[in-house]
Amino acid sequence: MKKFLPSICMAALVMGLNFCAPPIDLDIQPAAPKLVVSSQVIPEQYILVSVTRSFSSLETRPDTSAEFKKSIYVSNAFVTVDYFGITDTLTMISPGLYEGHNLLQYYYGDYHLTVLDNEKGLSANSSTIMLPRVQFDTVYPVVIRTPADTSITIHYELSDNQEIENYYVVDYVKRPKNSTNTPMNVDKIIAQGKNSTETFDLLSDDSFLNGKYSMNKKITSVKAKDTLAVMVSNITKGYYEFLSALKRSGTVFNTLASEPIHFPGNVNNGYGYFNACNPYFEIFDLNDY
Amino acid sequence: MFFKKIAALIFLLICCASLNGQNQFTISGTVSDTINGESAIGALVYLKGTNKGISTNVYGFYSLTLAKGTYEITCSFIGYKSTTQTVQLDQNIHLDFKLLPENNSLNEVVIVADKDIEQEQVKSSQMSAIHIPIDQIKNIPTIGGETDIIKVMQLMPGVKRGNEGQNGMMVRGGNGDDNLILLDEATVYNISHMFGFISVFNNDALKDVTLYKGGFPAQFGGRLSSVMDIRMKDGDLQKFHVTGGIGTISSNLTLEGPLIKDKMSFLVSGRRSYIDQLTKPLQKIGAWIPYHFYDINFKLNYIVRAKDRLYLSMYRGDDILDNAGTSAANNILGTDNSTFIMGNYTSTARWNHIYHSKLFSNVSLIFTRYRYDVEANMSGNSFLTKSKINDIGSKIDYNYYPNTKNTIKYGAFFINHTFNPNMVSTGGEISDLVRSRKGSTLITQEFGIYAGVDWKVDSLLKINYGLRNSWLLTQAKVYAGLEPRLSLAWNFSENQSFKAGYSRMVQYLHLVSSSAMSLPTDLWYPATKAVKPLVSDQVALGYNLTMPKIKSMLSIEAYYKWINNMIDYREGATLILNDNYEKELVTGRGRAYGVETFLSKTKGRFTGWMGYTLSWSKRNFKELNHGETFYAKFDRRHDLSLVGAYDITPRFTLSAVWVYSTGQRITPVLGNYFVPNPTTGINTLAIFADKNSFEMPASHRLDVSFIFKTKEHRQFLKHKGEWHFGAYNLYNRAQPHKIIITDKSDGTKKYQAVGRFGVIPFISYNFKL
Repeated sequence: MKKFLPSICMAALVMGLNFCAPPIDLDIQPAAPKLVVSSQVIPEQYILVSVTRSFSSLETRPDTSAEFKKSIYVSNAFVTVDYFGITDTLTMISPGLYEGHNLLQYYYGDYHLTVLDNEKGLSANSSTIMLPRVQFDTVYPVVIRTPADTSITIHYELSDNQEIENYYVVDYVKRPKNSTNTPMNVDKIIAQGKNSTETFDLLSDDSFLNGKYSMNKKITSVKAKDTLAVMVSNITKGYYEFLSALKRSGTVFNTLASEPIHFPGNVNNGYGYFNACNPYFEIFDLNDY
Repeated sequence: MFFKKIAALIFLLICCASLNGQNQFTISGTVSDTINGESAIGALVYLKGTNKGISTNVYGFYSLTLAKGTYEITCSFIGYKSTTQTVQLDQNIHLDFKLLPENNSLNEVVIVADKDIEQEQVKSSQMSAIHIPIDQIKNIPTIGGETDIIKVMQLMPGVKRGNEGQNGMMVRGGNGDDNLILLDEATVYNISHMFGFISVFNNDALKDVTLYKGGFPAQFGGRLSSVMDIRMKDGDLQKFHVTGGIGTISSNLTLEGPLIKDKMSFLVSGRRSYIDQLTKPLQKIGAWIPYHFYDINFKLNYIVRAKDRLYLSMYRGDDILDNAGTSAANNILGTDNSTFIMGNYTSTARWNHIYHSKLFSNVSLIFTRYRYDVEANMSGNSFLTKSKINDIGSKIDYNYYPNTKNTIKYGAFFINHTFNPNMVSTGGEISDLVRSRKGSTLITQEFGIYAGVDWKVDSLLKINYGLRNSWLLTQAKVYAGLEPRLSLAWNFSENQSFKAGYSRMVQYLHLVSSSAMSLPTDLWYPATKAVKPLVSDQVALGYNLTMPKIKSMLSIEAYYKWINNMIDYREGATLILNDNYEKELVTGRGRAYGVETFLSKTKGRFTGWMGYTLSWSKRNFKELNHGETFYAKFDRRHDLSLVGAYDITPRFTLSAVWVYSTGQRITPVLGNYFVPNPTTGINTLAIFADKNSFEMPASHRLDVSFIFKTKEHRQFLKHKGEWHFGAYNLYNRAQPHKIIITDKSDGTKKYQAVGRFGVIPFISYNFKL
């Protein structure tokens, strides 16, 4: 130890008495909770709307704790969707998740969402347009099994009406075999939650050549025994911009190393995005390939 | 067509300025230090008892054209005894002045000026400029005990500091990359060691520095906000010297002397840090810091004959993190065989030629390279990234002195920039995440011409007007920038003047630098087809006063600056290793305005200055902050510097610096929310405040230094020495630079601002053999 002493002393001197200056308390008002909305239409069946609350940077509870989840999942909210003079009141199917079974689906129709959180006295509203469903021209998985590895590629082709401005999202959703879960369940999402990018493709008119788009997408996070749903949705420009921002800036790394961002949601007095896009999907049991 | 217009304009300027030249003769020559032969930049040569005179140029040359007669010519320079000679002027005369330093010791305390020099500063049409001979600032306390020229400039009004301890300079509301730093005319792209805490400029190798914040002379351009013109010493033409210093962070040694007495001299100066050596014994406990930096300055100065002089200047400096041959457990980096090298290399060859007593020229060939290499190896993964900029250029400058009323400066320049950013090579699993790539090579050419006239209209009015035209050839596109310059001084009384100025500046380079994460690997990029050059227009008004009775000067300046084609980054942009950075840029405009006050006491036992700036700096980008105007990150409303030194005895001096500035602006994260990913995941998204909407607590600190000059050592290597003891941030106040969230005693959390440094004591010893 003696021989280290001069070095330690000098290093301390050189480095200064760093971090000794006491921090200064700041008077910053953390963000007040607001409602966070996201939604998913299941074609010809129902609409699901998740309603959660944002939380302060000074939140002390771990985000996996039951108490924390309870504080952000909005229970017993009054959630309605208005369209063509019809008001559809959604039913809570689990904390934070609301379902509208009677929702009629009109393409190019305006849908207005209103959410009232009686427990916290919060409210939010939003509007969107339901765009028609589109289908893949072709879609299939290519599974190559070798003794060392298995690679899974999804090949799909898509056509676009070049006369109007269109945007699309292609999602790759892994589902456990024989799962009866709905494609979106807030509880499951949070329980499984890992930030992820590169798990969906965003296409705009610029992506198409003479109205055609072809893609071989290598999927690395799926195993050969899984079931994979591949979905395509015709989405609004606003939702495309929201997803674009989410794709490139939604990771923890981005929060630390990127420029600050205000995600371009469409929820008044809240966050998130209310969309009514109608996905077309095909499900592949990769065991069969 | 355009070239013809410019040529015609230059011709017109020269003709106008040459109108009165009948039956006159010229006294010309150089001004230098009688002890070491160093040329004096900005020395004043004038007719005693009149206001007819001229300042020496950056090579110490002057030329004064007068009618036939007998004159008493006086020469004054900061920190030197004035000298007067009587000349019978009936032919052109060559007259060199050799000046004797007033205080032939190691140090003066702060900026010292003679009355004549002060009055010349008041009367000069040049405004918004700070000129400091390096010897005058050696006692200002800074981190580590070694005075840092960049940190001294940060104490001047109009110059804002960046983060604590770092060398960022924001001049008059500009950004950190709006400053052109020249070392013997070569651009220095990276001005910092130790990730920003120490500048690359070794004081022992430097002679003089001038910072222009506005009222830019026509010969300068290329950046919007400031030009810092740093000149190295030429080397002692008379005697061999060794000077050096031993400090807490680094030590330096400088050798200079004549190779041929009065004809040829050299200077070699080196500096190295030694934290790597100090901590090497700590390898066994994994606490070795394998980092060091070094600088080498070299200069050769050759007086070929009275009319010709050659200079060769070179600088090389690197920051090196190198733990090659050690395992991850032995160093604080936690990696195996990793290296990080970043640094500048500059070289300048210059030829001064005096065509005749009225025409001086300088031709420069300049090479600059800035590069960094990062290589890391860990757990079977390897990562290598490189970037570099090479500039090769030349310039020619003429100074023409047609008569006592006019000085004309004109010239041309050419720079070839080669940018090789973001070459990446990866191996192992990391190559799935970061792909190897060659990086793109960008080659651009920047060139231009300029002409400027310094015109003494009469005893009351001086005007400096000029024009600079620059071009950039990039990606088969040509950008042209016409940059008019005008400044004037109205000397309405012996000791007072009003000044006004206008200047347009065009900038063809910008630094792509993440505001979220400060890295030393920020990259310079040129304007391209998609990214236009930045343009600024600045007007300034000033009032100057000398107060000889109390040996003080007062300067008050107000300015307003418009910046167009300003660059910022799209919301959410990630700039690290981003080759496609252009997609992340957004273009907007900036406005900056403020008032600067500078009060200095330049003589006596107590010397020092007070600089205060009240300023605003705003930005507006359609794509940022919902299109609303926001404040710049370093929009510090109030900025006050008090610098003082008191000679307690001839051998013992106390100096102190107190700085206060409004806190920098920041965009804090106020909350979070979850949003389902289109697949089965979720994203945790941050809720940011409006851009730069939060103002950090004010920064203030006190630095002190005690300087003790030893008696001359006669027995062991006869030398003079001085000890510097002191402390940075004496009362241990955090200089807030980032926000953290900490636990309160009741289990809740709170926001706190933290600084980088607490109190840092220092001790150093400087000597001269």
